[in-house]
Amino acid sequence: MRKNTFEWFRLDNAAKIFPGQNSQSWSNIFRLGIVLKEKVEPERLEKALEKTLSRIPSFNVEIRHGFFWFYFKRNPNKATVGQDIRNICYRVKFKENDGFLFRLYYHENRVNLDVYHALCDGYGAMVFLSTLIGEYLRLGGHTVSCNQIVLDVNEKPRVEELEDSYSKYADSKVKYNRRDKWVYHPKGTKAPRHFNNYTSGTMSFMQLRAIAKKYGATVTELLAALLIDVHYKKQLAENKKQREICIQVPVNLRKAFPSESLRNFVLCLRVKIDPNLGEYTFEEIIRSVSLQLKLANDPKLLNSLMTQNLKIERNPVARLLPLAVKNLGVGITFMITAEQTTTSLLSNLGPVVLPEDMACHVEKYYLYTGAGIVNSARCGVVSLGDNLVFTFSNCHKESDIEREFFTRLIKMGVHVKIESNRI
Amino acid sequence: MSYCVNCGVELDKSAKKCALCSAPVINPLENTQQESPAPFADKVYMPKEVEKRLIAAVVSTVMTIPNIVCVLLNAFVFTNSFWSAYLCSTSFLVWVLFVFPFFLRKAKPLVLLAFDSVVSGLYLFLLNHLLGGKWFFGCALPIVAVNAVLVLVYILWAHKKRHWVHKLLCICSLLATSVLSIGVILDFGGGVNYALEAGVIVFCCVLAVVAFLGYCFASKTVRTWLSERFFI
Repeated sequence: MRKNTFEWFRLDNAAKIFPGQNSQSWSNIFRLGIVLKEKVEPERLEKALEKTLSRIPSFNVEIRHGFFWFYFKRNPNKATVGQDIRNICYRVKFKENDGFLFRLYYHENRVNLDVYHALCDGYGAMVFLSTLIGEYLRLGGHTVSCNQIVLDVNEKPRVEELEDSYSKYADSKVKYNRRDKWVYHPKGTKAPRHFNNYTSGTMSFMQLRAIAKKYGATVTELLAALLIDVHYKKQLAENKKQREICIQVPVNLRKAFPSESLRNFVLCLRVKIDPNLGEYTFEEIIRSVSLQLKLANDPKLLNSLMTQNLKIERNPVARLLPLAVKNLGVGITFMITAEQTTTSLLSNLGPVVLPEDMACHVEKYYLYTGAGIVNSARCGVVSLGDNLVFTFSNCHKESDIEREFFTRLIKMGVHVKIESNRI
Repeated sequence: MSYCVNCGVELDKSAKKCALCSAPVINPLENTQQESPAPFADKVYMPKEVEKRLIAAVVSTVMTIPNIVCVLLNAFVFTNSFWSAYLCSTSFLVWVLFVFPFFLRKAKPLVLLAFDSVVSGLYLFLLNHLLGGKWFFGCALPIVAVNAVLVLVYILWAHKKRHWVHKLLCICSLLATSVLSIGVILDFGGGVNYALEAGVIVFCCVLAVVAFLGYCFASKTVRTWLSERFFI
């Protein structure tokens, strides 16, 4: 391994977009949290963090401005942990927090990791947090084995974990160009600046899977269909011009391509229904969602989508544009596309498989996707054992979408326990 | 454990109200809400904001430097006329209109309008005086006053939440009224030929377009007819 591999490296294809989207009040940041069965000791957590950062150096970086592109550079500062705050996932500034693009918090028996999306996707954050907690437990005298998401901190970092897998695997001859319309967005009262609303519901994974099976769908498909149905009914009640309802569903590309990267390697699929086509029952929505996801989740199609996304990055003229111009372009594109073409987001990290000797110390994980700007309710899902946590990140004060969603689940026979940072 | 009677969800032990419907938690059998650790911390961290006043101060300083240089040049080098007065007054007007609002913590539109109108009037008075003209009381002052009144009307009207189409139509109508008023004032106060005619033509054209668009927007029948005949 070359010595300078971890000194600096380029941003991956997805990460290149995020700095251009930053504003004074918003940046693309998400939270992955873990609930332990014991109270967290901050000193031990800080020691574990130091070791984890040396094992996963893609987190031990600061972002720098180049003339043409942003790049990551190894951060010489020492990362610290802090007491948790109520206004989670507030915006990132590159010079704050000693340059680190993640923030690690503790509160009672919880450890929370707020990550800037340019660093990694949900899977990368999951590996980082699980490795950190694994080491934290080891420092407390417990025996914790390693697996795919709990890495051995005594091993050396591998180059494959830092690679830009988009550039490596995007080689399709066809560039699939999606054309998306502006879609429905629920209106509401904006939450105060830097203080979005986060609500999570803990439920039984087995119960949910049994219901999904009844509809012939997976848990993700069931939840996406329910989210669409809630928005669909809300829009019908508003009695205005009906627009499409489109849910963005990120797909972990590591399942389709043999990547070991701990950086971004995710692609967003879109599932939608058009109310102008006629009335939809919940069964019809779930069937449509299921078919759309199955159809889109094809490695060849994903490859062509990736290749399309890389088109601009590979364009020699675009590469030569100064960073400020690129940022302006990204900002404008983000304003008129991105969230305008999606009603909501549903990010499902899936079931987390921890080593048995670690799983007995952990109660559950949760994922807050970070509130959007016009997407009123963005959702994150993650499950550990039978504990599935569904979270809403909402930029509006109103909680009608969350209420409708969870009460629908209760009517289906799922027991839901609610937590929220709302005051 | 407590459940919300409205939503049916189980609530966290520390919850004092349901997060979904705000129904208060009253459980006489279980009085442990205060003792249970809350899932979220109470501490709120407000990130630092870019100080608007600082930027406004920097811009003000940058604007002041050339003015000082010009005043000094006017005083000691090019002393043939008060040419620096034009530059300084224009610069001051620009500062009042575009930089000064950023110094205020919460800008009140009515106060700003009054202040801007007075400063604009004084600026024009100064120009009138320096140029030795007689157009201030006949033309400039009435034009400033009429435009201030029109902006005041818009501020009062737009105080309530309005549809963007209505806002657009209102702005167009007020602009047309402003042009008409300027035409009338220039014609009667300044003796400018054809100013009234030009003002009336612009006013009538804009008002006709505004009336047509307003009617189209208000009438569902017309909207449907237009979308049937002119779809692209």
